[in-house]
Formats: sequence, C-alpha cells, structure tokens
Amino acid sequence: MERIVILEVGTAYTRGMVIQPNERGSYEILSIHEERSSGIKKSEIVNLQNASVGIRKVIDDLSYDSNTDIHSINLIYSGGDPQTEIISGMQPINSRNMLIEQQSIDSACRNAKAKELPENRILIEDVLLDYILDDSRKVDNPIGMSAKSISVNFMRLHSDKNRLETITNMLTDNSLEYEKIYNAGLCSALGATTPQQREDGVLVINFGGGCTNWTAYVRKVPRCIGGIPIGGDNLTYDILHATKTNNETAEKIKKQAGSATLITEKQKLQFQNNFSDQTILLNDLSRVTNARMDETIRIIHEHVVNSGCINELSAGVVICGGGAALKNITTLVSKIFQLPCTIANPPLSYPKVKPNHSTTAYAALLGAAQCCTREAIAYEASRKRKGFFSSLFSK
Amino acid sequence: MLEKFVTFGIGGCGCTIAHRMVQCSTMQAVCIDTDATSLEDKKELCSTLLIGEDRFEGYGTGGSFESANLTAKEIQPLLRENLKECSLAIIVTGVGGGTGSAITPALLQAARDMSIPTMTFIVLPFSMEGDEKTRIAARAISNITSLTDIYCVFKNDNLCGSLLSPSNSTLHEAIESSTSQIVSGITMLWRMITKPGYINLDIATLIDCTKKGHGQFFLSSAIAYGEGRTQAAINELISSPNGVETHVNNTECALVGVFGGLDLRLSEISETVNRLNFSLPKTIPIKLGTVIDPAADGSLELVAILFEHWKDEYADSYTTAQSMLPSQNTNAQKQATTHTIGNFPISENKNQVSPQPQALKIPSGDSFIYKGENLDIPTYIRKKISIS
Repeated sequence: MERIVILEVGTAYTRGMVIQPNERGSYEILSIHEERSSGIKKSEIVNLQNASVGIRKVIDDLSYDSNTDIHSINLIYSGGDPQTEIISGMQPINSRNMLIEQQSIDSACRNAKAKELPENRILIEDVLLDYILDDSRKVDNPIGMSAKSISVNFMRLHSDKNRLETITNMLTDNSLEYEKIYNAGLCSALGATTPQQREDGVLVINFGGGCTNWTAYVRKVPRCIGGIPIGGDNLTYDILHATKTNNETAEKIKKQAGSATLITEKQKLQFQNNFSDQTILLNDLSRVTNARMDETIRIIHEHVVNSGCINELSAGVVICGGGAALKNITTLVSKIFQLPCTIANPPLSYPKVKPNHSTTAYAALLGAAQCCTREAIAYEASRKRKGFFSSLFSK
Repeated sequence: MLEKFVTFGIGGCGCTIAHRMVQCSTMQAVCIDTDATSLEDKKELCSTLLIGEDRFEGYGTGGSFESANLTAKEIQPLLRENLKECSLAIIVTGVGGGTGSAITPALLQAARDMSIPTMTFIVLPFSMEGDEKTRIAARAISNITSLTDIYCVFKNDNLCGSLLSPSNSTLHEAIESSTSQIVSGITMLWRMITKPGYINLDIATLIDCTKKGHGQFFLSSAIAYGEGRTQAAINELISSPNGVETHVNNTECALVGVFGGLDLRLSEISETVNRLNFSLPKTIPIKLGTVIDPAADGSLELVAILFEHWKDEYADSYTTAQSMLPSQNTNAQKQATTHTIGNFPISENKNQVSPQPQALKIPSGDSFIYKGENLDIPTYIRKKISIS
C-alpha cells in the first residue's frame, strides 16, 4: 500500500505525519514533524506567505526523514466555520421478498447526499448516523433484513468555501495536491478515545490555539460536532490585557501559572515586563483565566445539551490539544458537565516521541491516520476486486 | 541590560559586517561560519562559532545551500545555546550563498522558539553574480522574512550605484563601499540606543519596534561636519539614493536619531524634525531620539528607521474602543492627526483626547459574536470581574 501523508494546519502548530498502512488495518509511523505556525489566526490563514513557509518546512522535513517524495497530502483543518446538518434519504424496497441488498442502501445514500449544500459552503464529510427500516426500526447493518423501505441519516459537515479554498490554493502553489480534508474535531475524537469509549458515549474537547472543537460520540456514532473560534490565543490575550505585558510574557505566564479554576492563595507571581520586574497575584490571574475557560466550556455544554446526548456520555469527557495542559482544566470541565474528565494521551509509537511525553497534541493526526488507513484498505480491496474481474474477462 | 543585546553575523558577508561593526563600536557580536580561516581573523574581537566542520572541513560551503541546510538542522542546540539570555538578536547576513541563506532561518527559528525578538539585516548579492545566486537569495528571503520580527534589505546593486561607488570603481571598492554603508547605518543606530541622550532611544525602544513595526524597515543615515553640517546631513538623509524620500510611500512610522557633540544646537534638532515633517506625510508619526557624545564635537549624524508597517496597540485600541462608544466626537477624531515626539503625543486637534493605555483592544480578524457578546474581548472585562 502507498504511504500516506497527513498535514494538520493549526493556529499554533503545523504538524505532519507519514504513515505506512498495512493490510491488517494498522499502520507504521515513518515520520512526524511539527513547526510553529505563522500567518494563521483563529485557524484561518491571514498571511499566505508566512503560512506557506511553515507548511513547506514540515513537508520538507517529513520528506527528508521518511525518504518519501510528497506530492499529495490529507489535510486536517479546524477553521472554515464548520457547521453540521442532518440529511436523510429514503429508498423503497421493491423486491418480491422485501430483502435489503447493498444496491438499495446505496440508492438511499445517494438520495440523501443529493441534497444541495448551502451557498458558499463546501462539503467536508457526510458522517453516517443511522439506518432506519420502515421509518421506525434503527439497525446497524440492514443487509439481509426485510422491510418496505430503508432510510439513511447522515450528519453533513460543511465549511466556508472561500476560506477552505485559500488553504487548498496555497497547497497547490506549493506543488501539493490534497486527497481529502478532515475535520480536526472529528479526527481528535477518533485519535483521543478508544472504540469502547466511543461505544459507551464520550465527549472529546480539543482546546486548540485558535479554535476549540468538540465531538460527542454515542454508540460509536458522532452525535454532536461543533467548534468556536476561541482558543488558547484568547486566553493569552486576556492575560496580556490584565498584566499590560507583551504576548510572549503573557504566553509564559499562562503556561507557568494559568489555572482554569479559581485560586484562593494570594501568592505573587513575578514576571518581567520590558526589563522591569512586575507582579500579579495568583488569585487575580486565576480570575482572568477562569472567566475565559468557564465561559468557553459552558458554550460547549450548552451545545451538547441542545444536541440531546448529554445523558448518554457514560465514558465522560476527554480533553486534548494544547489547552489540555492548563492547570485544573479537568476539574472545571468535570464541574460544568458533572461528568468525569480525563486528558487524552493516545498511544503513539515513534522513536522520537519519548514514552513519557504527552501525546495529547497528536490526537488529530492519530485520528486522521486511522481514517486514512481504513480508506486505503477499502481502496486496495476494491482495486483487487476490479483486478480479479478484469483478469476473469480477459481469459 | 546591554549584555543581552547581541549581534550575529552569519556567513562570509554577515561575519565581515559584524566584525567591522565591533571594530567601530562597543557591540558584542557572534560570528557564525563554516570557514575556519575567515573566523580566525575575527576571533580577537568577536565570539566565533565554527559550524559544519565535519561536512565542510573548515572551508566555505561553496555556495551549496542544500549542504548548509543539512548543517542548519544539526546545529539547532548550538544556536539556542548562543541565544541564551539574549533580549534582542540583531542578525546580519548575506543571502545567495550557502551559510547565510541556510543558517539564518535556523537561527531565527531558534530565536522565535525562545521568544527572543529579532531584527535582521539582509544583504542581497549583486545581480551580476548570476541567476543561481538570485534564486537561492529569493528562497532565503522568503524563509527569513517569515521568521524575523523586522528586517531591512540592502541591495548591493543599489549601494554600488550610489554616490559612494561610482560606476568606474573597482570590485573591491564597490564591495568595501557597500559594506561601509551598511556598517555605518547599523553602528549609528547602535550608538543611538547605547549612548545617553536627552530624548532617549534605548534598547527597550528597539525591542518595542520589533513588536510594533511588522515586516520591512528602511535604514537611512547621514553624517556631516563643520559649517553648514545641518543642511548637508539633512539633505543626505532625505534625498540620497537610499534616503527618506525614496521610502515615503512605504512608511507608516519613522524613528529618527540625532547624534552630536556638546555643540549640538537645539535649532539643529528642530530643523531636522521640521524637514522630516515636511518630507513625510502628516499621518506618519515620528519618534525622535538625541544623543550627546563629547567625542562627536563638530559633527552631526542622523539616522532614520522607516517602518513599512506599524501597529501601535494603544492607538489602535483607542480607535477600536472609541468606535464602540456613542459617536459624540467621531468627526473630530477623524480629522485629527497625531504626531509623536519622544513619548509625547502631540495632537493637531485640541479637542482630541490622548490615547489611554487602558483602552480595550480587539484582536485583529473576525470578531466572534455569541449571544450579542463579542467573545474576543477578554471575558473578565465583559463580566466586570475586578482584579486588584
């Protein structure tokens, strides 16, 4: 099978990975690289030239490291104002015994996907939700069952066309083609959780630099996908505003002493502000950081409650992304959702990533690697089938 | 704090300029090169860093960008070590060859990772040096400009065609002349921020400039002696081939330094400012600094840094915050133009309120409005959470 290249263009970091999938459904990581992003704000490109340099650097490093000529990539993207809608398609079963065959399922899917996208939107993915027989029975796999009709529901995920085209045009300018675009929230959820957690019901929140994305899985199916352009950069800016310092110092303060929950101790934190030493009380700092995090998490909570799946999240909440490093973040999430919360640390087998190193930032890449491997296997199987039939006919 | 201000010369060209700068100032410099012989000459005055010894065996890269790029990947820890405790890195490099083109982005990346502000002076090769050099230079510039905070580009072609190096000059004279111009501009800037002055420009000012002056800046300098020195220096600063007037349309802010001895007259400073005010559009703020050095008696030196892009947070935040308020003074504000001398905003419109530091700034980009609230405004402000 061919090697697969995955590129995640985020506000804080651009990360890339080269994998070698195998027929057993797993993959070997050949190379991982990351670079501080530049020219990207709130997951949107604001400076093509700067963003392009970061991407080029990651691609060059991946290419060098894995000895792979890279011409096409799979893109993970968290920007572009992702939105979802439910689309449905129905197909009557006309056969005499009312048995459902693959052909009927395909027709129902085609009918659902025929729905036009809203203006200026571009399709990211149609995620299969349910098969419903005779408008009443939900089933996992309808093949061989008997019914008068089959309906299929998809969650359609779409993005702003112009914003996405900016990034795809930039790839083209760098002599790169893109094979598929993956949503960062969906990929993170896949990479940060186990199949059992997704079966039990889990909410995954990815706190990124420019955006926060979330996906709730219930019985292995994503039931709620969302994102807001509020992320770690906003928290840094809040600290910057409160301390009247510069961005770099605010970032350092955030990493060193930022807390998602309120701190009561009146200990002072010293920091350097343009060569003069200044201080801020830790409880003051925590008021600033808690206010932002509390607000962000409550927005997600409201969205999940409105989706109707809040009571089905038996496996609790899993958080990932750079924001997962904020102190006491699990306590705050747990308090608002009234659910257990853990930080994702997905297994990552690559020599340069030390075993004790947090892998939470790689969740989206690992999730996309799973998707790409699955698709590569499906493609390989279909290629072999075609090969088999063509060899039959040629005889 | 001065020890934290370090100049890095990279490659043959960068090291030569850095070495010359150290010769005529008290600057600290680190010379980074693959050529051991070249570094040997500079050891006495500068710290030297010989790189890629196993790949180049102490010789130059022979213009091989690819080989130098491999070295760049290997020496990141070494570069970080040299950047330690540095508050501002001034980087001087020539692009088009191997070392300058490949090592400079690596150094800038290390500085960025360590949150160290950077100011880069880039020297472009002569166009007669061929397409290959131009191609490598273009690639290097793209990498460098995306990683540095602010940068200044010197074109050898332009310097060669200037008054200092007429067309019949020898190659040695042309290179010597371009090097001298670059060195004099940077050392003048160095003296301006390190020597005491009545209207101060210091290292903090320069660091501030790296934050507010995005992208490219232009450097013009002039020196004149004796009678009529004021007119001569101003004319050179404004009207020389690399002078202020050539960049008027690409300037959003100007930082001007006046350097003189104990005989520096107030009228000379005001004449300089008046002439600059006349030459630059009124919308461009001019920040002025003066330096007095008894050793400079009889001379007048002027240096101007013109920033192509300038973002003054307080001014921006003031405008944004005002735009959110009822429009009582909107027209008055639109008509007003602010000039800044030193740290004092001077308003041409007496009704205008001076910018308030505590005003709210909205980050650039689309604001995210949720349930009628702009979530890009700090939450603790919107929720009226008080901090001491």
